[in-house]
Amino acid sequence: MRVKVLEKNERSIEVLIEGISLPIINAIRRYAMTQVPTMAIDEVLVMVNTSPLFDEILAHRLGLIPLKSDEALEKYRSPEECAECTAYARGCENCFAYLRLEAAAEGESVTVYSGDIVSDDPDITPVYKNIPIVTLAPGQRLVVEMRARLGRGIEHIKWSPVTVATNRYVAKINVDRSRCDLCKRCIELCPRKIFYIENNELKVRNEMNCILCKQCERSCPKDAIMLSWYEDKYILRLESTGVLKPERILSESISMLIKKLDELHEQMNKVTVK
Amino acid sequence: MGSLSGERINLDTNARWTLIEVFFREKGLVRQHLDSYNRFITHGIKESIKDESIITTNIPGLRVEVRDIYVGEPMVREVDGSENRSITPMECRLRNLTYSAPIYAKLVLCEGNVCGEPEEVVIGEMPIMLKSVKDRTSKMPPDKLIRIGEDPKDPGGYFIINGSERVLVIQEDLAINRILVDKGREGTNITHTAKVISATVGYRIPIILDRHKDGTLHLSFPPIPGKIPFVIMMRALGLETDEEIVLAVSPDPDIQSELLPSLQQAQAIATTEDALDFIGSRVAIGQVRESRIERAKQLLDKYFLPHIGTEGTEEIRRKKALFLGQMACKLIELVLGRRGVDDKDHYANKRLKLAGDLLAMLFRSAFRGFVRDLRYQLERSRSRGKRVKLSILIRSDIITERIRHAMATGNWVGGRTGVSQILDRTNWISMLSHLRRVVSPLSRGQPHFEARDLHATQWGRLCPFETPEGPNCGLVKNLALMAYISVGMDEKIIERLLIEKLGVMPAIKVLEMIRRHRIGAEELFKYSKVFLNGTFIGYHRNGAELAEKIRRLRRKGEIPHEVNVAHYKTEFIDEVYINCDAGRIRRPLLVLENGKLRLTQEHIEKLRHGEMSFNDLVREGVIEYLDAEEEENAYIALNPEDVTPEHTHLEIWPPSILGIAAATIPFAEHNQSPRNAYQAAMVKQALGLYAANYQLRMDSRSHLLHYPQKPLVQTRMLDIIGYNERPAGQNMIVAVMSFTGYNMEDAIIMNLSSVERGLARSTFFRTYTTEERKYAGGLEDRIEIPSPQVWEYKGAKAYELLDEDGIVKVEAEVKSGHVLIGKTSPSRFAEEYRERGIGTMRRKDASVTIRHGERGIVDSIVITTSQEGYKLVKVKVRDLRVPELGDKFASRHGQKGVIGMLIPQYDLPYTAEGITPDLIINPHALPSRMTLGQLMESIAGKVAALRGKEVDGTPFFSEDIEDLKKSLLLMGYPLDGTEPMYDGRTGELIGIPIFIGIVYYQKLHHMVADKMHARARGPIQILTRQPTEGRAREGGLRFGEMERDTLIGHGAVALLRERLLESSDRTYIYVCELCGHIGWFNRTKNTYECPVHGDKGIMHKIEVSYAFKLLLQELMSMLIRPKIILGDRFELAER
Repeated sequence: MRVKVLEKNERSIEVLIEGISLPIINAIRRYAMTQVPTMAIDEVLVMVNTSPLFDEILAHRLGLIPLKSDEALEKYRSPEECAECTAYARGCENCFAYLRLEAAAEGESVTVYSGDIVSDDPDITPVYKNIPIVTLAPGQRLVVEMRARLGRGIEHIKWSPVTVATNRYVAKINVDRSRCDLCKRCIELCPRKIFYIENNELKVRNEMNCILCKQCERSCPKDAIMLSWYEDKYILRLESTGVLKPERILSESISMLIKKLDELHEQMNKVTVK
Repeated sequence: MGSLSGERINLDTNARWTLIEVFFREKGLVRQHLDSYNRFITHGIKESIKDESIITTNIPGLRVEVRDIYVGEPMVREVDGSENRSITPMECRLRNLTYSAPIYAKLVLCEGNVCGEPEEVVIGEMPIMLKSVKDRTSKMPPDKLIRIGEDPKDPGGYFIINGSERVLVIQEDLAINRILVDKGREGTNITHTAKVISATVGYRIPIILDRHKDGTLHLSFPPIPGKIPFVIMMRALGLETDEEIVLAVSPDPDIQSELLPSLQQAQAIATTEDALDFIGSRVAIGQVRESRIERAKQLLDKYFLPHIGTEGTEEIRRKKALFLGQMACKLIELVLGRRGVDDKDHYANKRLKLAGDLLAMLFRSAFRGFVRDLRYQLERSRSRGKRVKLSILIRSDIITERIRHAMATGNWVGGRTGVSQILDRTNWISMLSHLRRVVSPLSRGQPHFEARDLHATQWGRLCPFETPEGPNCGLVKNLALMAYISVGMDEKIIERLLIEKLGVMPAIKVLEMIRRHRIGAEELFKYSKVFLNGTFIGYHRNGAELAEKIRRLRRKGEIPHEVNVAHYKTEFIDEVYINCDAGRIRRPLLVLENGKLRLTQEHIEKLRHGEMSFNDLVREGVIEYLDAEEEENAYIALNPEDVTPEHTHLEIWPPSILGIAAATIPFAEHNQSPRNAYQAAMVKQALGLYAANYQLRMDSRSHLLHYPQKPLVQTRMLDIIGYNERPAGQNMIVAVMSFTGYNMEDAIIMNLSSVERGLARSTFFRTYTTEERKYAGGLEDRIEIPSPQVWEYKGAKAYELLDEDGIVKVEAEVKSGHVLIGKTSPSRFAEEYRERGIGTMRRKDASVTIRHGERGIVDSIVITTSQEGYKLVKVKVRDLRVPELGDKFASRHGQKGVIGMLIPQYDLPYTAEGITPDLIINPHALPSRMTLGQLMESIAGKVAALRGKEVDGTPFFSEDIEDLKKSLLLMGYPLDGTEPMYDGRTGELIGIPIFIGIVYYQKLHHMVADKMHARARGPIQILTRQPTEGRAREGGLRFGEMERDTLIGHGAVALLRERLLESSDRTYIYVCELCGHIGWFNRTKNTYECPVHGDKGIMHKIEVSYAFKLLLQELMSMLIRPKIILGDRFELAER
């Protein structure tokens, strides 16, 4: 097995994985989207809302604000534990982070941003300060209290730590130079500029960039281009909403998968031993 | 100006668009209604009472003169008598008031020659059209409008009657005073016929001239029964000799000879007197000759061709004879094949009635009622010998109520219904489209195929797409964008102008000259006939020259721009039609002279800088309006590059042939025509921001889309319509593929995660209203929490959300069964109780509960007083509507579908970049429907999103699709709009690249939450005891005939019996074996009784359907005796 990081920054990670079958990589991708727990506002207690937005719209908007969750994973109880918690209705500190938003417009209209949210827990704050929540006209006021909890993307998309999670194939482009008559049609039609001509020969560069759109293959009048892909080479890419670092999402996703498999393993052992 | 006209101009798309922008900035979208209403309020109302300006009474000498009449400022009279002059439209909407103004009249009471002082009295109230001259909001700046609760962009053009917004829909009518010839119907005695509807203020009389098989001409018109021979009528009108009559028809011997049978037929009646006697004998049967003649004269003066005149002078009768002569002439020309039949569907032969005309009709009738009452009051008060004082005798509520009743119900004078309709406020487009709707009075029951067809003259006047499907197809139409309707002017002015300045010779004079042989009949052949508003007024030496001269003068501004002229010339026909009446649909066109535009670059620049207006262009003759008639003489180029020297006009903006709804379609010219028609209908059902003041409004039901978006693929018209500020839809990423198969048969797959992020969310509002009425005898309703003692008390749980004032709290969550407004009413039989002396009078619960099957959150409450001074409570309840399985969506290309499946993001296919679609439509939706526009929109939308700038998809002037494809390629995407995609469930590449792009989708107001329904047991109807029908009544689901047939086919008897009897209206009756009558059980005697045999009858209990029992009793009520013969259930085998 070989892993190579193609790209990594604050928001995204792209790795080339060789030697693992597609279903496993896809499972990791899906786990990143649905199983990695994050913090999100789940309950909103509206005290005053004279804004033009209805309570339910406001609550929906607040819920979609990404909250920093790096510390939360250790600090707060997981959704499963929470579900079994008897103190749930009253609210316990191990489950919920408490946040508050207060705003009023006096002389002029005021736009309330995610940065105006005050959190009791300094670890749980909005990732971005500039998400507009509502614009208040003069005289309008907003006081809400919010409870955030850990959740998973499978329950509601607001808990998903990623916006984009893909794995894609790596192209294998074969040019039959004996057939190619250098008509350049493939060069014209390729959206990723993969082809070029050098020394009267059609050549290929940056195969990794190819998205397998088949424009070249289909447009070639001589059938000189053969498009295929590597069977055990995949590129996995995750883009974070900002709640967790992308590499953390990846490792959490894998460990969630392992945890599930361990559990399965354990259960299987129990069943088969009997 | 002369210096301007020489310049060259490069009239590109943007320059043409400038003209459009200026046009709409100046006129808005409902100008027709406003102009029509304004004219009525300022002039029409004064004209409409002219012939009733003196109110005479039976008391000799006593009369009232109406000196002046005018409409005041909007105002409401409150119950305490005070005048609320600061009334705003919003207050009227909320308080269920009528936005109206008093009508003042200056009345003078006269007796003999002595007249009193003029008194100014209020004779009634006139509803005020919003944004008309009388409406204060028409002059308010936007910030002031916002302060008084109006949407600053609201176009007006409607009324507020008892709190509801009402439109007077434009009515299409056959043009009046125009002679239309047609072939007679097969199998009748009539070969050809000429018809004219003669109408003037207050009159509308159809006159028909028929040619019978024997060649004679006969006239029929309503006041006279039967038909009158043509020649007799001419004699009655004062043309005695045959020569005169023949000349009045035509100087052409061929036509004259066609009159021979008619002349022979009328030989016996040779004088005017005899002719009048002949006509009089039809109506005044059995009276003396003198009174017969008198009666005939009266009839002819008043009811025959009243548009020419109703005064009985010699000259007017002669003019009427001439008109009749022209009718005959036109008819004979048809007979001789010199002209074809007139096309009734040609828009030159149609007129539109707008709000002003409709109100004028209504007001005239109401005013007549008022006059009748005033006359009666005058006579009564005089006969009692009292001193007559006008202000006491005036009853202003007659006019007020007549107008308000008609406007509230839509039942107009003349028996027309549906004239006033509640303004459709589903979204911005539906409102605007409603204000520009045109309905035809033709019955929807009959086929009328020709009338429904799109007519060539509708080009640029009426939208070719926007018409409903089904019975109203082609009868309900919508104005095209630049269509403008003439307001009309005094035709006397034009007539004088024609005769005095333009060399038209009056017909009577010409006739006189021929009789005296000053000009020969042959000479007349060369002349052109001149018609003004359909009436023949005279001859002109050269029709072409006259038409040209009129056009020239009009372009110079010396003749009003509303005057249109058309010259028809064939081998036999040479006629000039000049029109200046109201209700013609006209459209502006650029004037070409010798193939050169009169428009210059300087004009465009000035327009752009606001130094010039559209009207200035019209005044300078750079642009002129043509009606359907004048367009017959025009040769119009579509685009500047098509212009040749023969062209007379250039189209300003070809897409303006579309109406408001169809203008929303990008790339419309690439779609199959019916698809555009479907979209034009569906755009009116889309949810969006329907008005900026939605929070203040209390519409009985409305929807609001949470995150409406401007379409990424625009049409230029969207800006002027205001769609970009009040949109109704969202840009969605749409993939065309099958995927799970849950998008078969026009279903769509929607991205559940997108929905969770807020895609296509909307809120539904419903307003519940009640009033605290006061009744006679000191009884009154009370809004309160009802006590458990009241009748029909709903149980404490239902009232738990009520505040102490009996009204729910704001933001309370309500479900069906909950009471929103607690109210008790006095018992209906309270009076009886009191008479009987029963002390405890129980009140009845009249609370307003939430509708069955609905739920929501109380959004806002209005507590106010109505016009009558009753307490009025309105409660608005909102309900969040998240897209769910079965909700309906549509693109802008007539592609509608319901959600078949909601799939989360992680299962959906994604592109190499990780884009997942919001929507997956099935590829089968495309080939047979040929909505290429949608595919182009998809590519264009993708380009727009990538380049960060909208794409222009205006029909005929859109950005080139090839360019769009190229830019897609440059930005790194395959140029055909496809992308390879991976299946989210397996991570595998899908074999074929998927077409994916951005399409604007609309959420339509058919939602599952409003429709889903089922019941086990529930309410039944009282009369038939069968289950009720419909969701609102918690009704059963019908087990219909066809379902019944299936059970019969299967022989499933027990199930059949269970469905149709046991679970429906099973009942038991008692039947007497002796007589077969239905009997009953007498509880006091504990016996079964028969109506015939009393307790001696042998009664059997029978199980029947209640409907059958009902049938028996209905038969009995009609004196039919049904008899039930009973048999044994089991035959005993004989042994």
